[in-house]
Amino acid sequence: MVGFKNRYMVMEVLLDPNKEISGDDPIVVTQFNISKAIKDSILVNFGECGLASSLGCFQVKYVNPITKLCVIRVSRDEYQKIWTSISMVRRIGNCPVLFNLLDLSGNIKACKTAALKCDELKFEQNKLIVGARLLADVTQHMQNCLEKIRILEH
Amino acid sequence: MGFFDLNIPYTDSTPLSKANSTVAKSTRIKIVIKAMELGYTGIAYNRTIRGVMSDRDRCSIPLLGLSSLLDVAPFLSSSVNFHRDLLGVPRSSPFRQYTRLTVCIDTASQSQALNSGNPILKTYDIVAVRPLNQNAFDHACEKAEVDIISIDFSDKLPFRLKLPMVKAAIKRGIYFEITYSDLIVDVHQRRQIISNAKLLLDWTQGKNVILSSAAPSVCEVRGPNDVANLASLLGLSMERAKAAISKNCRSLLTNALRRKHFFKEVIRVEAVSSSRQSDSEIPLYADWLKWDPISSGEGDLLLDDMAKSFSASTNASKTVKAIDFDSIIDKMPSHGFQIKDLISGSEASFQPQTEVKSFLSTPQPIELSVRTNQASENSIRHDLFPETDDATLDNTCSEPLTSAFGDPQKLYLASYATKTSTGSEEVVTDTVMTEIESETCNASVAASGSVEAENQGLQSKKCYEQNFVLLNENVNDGLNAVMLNEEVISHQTSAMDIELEAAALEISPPSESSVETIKVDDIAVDMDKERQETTASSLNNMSSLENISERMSLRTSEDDAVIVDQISRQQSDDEMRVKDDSLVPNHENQVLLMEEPKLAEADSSMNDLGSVRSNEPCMKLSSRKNQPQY
Repeated sequence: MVGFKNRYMVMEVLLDPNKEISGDDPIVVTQFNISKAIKDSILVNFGECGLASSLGCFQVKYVNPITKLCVIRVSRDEYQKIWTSISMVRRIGNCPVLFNLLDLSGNIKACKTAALKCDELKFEQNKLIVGARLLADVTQHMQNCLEKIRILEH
Repeated sequence: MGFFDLNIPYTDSTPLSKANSTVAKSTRIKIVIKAMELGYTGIAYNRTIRGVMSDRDRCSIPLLGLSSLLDVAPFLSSSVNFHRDLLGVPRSSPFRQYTRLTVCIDTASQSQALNSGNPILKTYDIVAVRPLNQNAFDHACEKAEVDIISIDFSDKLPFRLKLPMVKAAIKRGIYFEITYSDLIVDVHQRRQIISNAKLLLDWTQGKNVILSSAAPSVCEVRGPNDVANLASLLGLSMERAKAAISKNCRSLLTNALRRKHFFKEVIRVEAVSSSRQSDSEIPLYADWLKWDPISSGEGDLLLDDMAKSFSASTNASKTVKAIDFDSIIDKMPSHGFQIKDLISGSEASFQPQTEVKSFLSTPQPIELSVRTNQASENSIRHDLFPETDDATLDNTCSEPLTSAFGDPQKLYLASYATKTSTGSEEVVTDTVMTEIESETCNASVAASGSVEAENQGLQSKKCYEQNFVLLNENVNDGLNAVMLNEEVISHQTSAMDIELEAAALEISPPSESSVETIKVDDIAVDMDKERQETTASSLNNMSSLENISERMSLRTSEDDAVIVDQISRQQSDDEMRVKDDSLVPNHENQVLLMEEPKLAEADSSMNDLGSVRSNEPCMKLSSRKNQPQY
């Protein structure tokens, strides 16, 4: 009945784990950044055919640059391989990164609820770390992102 | 179920420059923080050595305290809680730190060092072996006393993995370790690892396999779910892979810590602080109910208070610290006690146990074990054995200990009775049989056989008890000694104890006529009864134990009958019966033969024997007089 069988992964990107916690980001994560890094990783590990077969349903649906949260959609057949490739991503551009899976679900609805919850919690942590330097536009930006989650579609 | 990463490399603190060591330390702290943030509940610092171990290699890995972690990452708690909730790990489970040693082995002589008697290995929580050639691998799978076999898959393997070896290792409870950080770091190593490790995983199906990171820096650590997924590259299903990083690690830790803390898998030595004396309301054994099987002692970091105050300290652990008594033994003088010999004559030769090699030179066995058994009655000990350091024995804990020990005693007694130690198993059963068979007038053959076995067993027991006696002298927190002695008495289940209880059973209703009833649980029950009569029957205990010693002595020479007599006159009638009964099977000489006709006159049933026994005191004295006639 459903044509496309997908898996939605909610992942967090940990930038530069070696650095001390300072609050400044070395790079800004965007959909393009992450997508490119993952595709490169698939190419190295699974070759041309691996990349080609996973490229059909592969999309980075949502990225929050403040909390470093991303939602990635992959096909159900290939999700393990792509997940492995994501784990093996070592850097985005020049910055060493670390991907950590937070949630894996089969439909967009469950993914949305999980992403909202994780995003809010991560934002709270972020506020703790940043402390007094919280700016109003950051909060506004955050609200926009949360809205974006709510209107996500498959 | 917690997740564990049991391979975080630790480099020695003898680096080329001070800068290196600070870098290494900060790397270690970062890795630990990252592991905690990612949701792991336990890690192990792994130190790798190659070749022969020396005394320098004792564990000196400093465990990190919560304060040092919070210095680097002050907002650790919120992150940790967030990830733990996502993973389903309870927020309040402590973060554990363990120490691990990996020994690289290439020659047979190095392999021989990996036995359970090696004191350096005992200072680490987990012991791993990295075989470098075929012989080493075979030895590691079949004989080495280690917890983990860690194979470096990232290069061409120098040996072949063989299925029977792998199966043998799994049967012995050894785990194979696969490290995943090389998959992430280098492309070429990725190829090697996948092709090499796939074979192992196909054979084991993930059973007895653990996954760990061996991360050289913090960028190579991955979260538990990601690691489980990486294992699917190697052919494991997701469920098995998740088990490999949680359940298997946990059972490995349980086994490893049990091996470390328990002597002969039975006795745990703990240092009880003397401040507990004042808390008499709190029973001493209340802590034991909260025993945490994979606690790493001081390494446990409880994270509850982190959110409240960033300066939480780490010593919230309520479990008493187990002391490694083997290291204490090693510090003791290697000669045994020199006690005035009540025994003359030589004992049979015996095979030294590996753990107590240093004490086996002087055979003064049975007297020592007698003394050890009496250690719980310290007042008596005072009188009889002025050489010992009495200050270390406070008997205040004996009462609660007895009741607490009731069930564990039975358990340990049963388990010990089934242990396959070299001669003692037969000794145990033999002596039990011996007690009873005497009444059936079969004693002579059985007695002679069992007596030699008894000698052997007793001598081996002597070593352990010797250790504990010496321990008493040198360990200054005195309650330790009490617990130790209690445990020696209760758990050591020497032939002494079995005989004591068998003898005690004969004081109790003699209507239990079948041999089978003199089994472990009865013995345990009677041991409890024995213990609970400490004050009243301490003298009896002492004398009955003296009986046993005398029995031994009588076995070997007749000159000691004088002593026997002297002590026999001090006893109550009960004890007399015990003594005489126990004397019965143990004589190879005329006394036995002489008493046999007397027993033969009576019926072979125990009831009659009871009446016979009551007459025996008189007979005993008369028998002595009759001795020269034979």
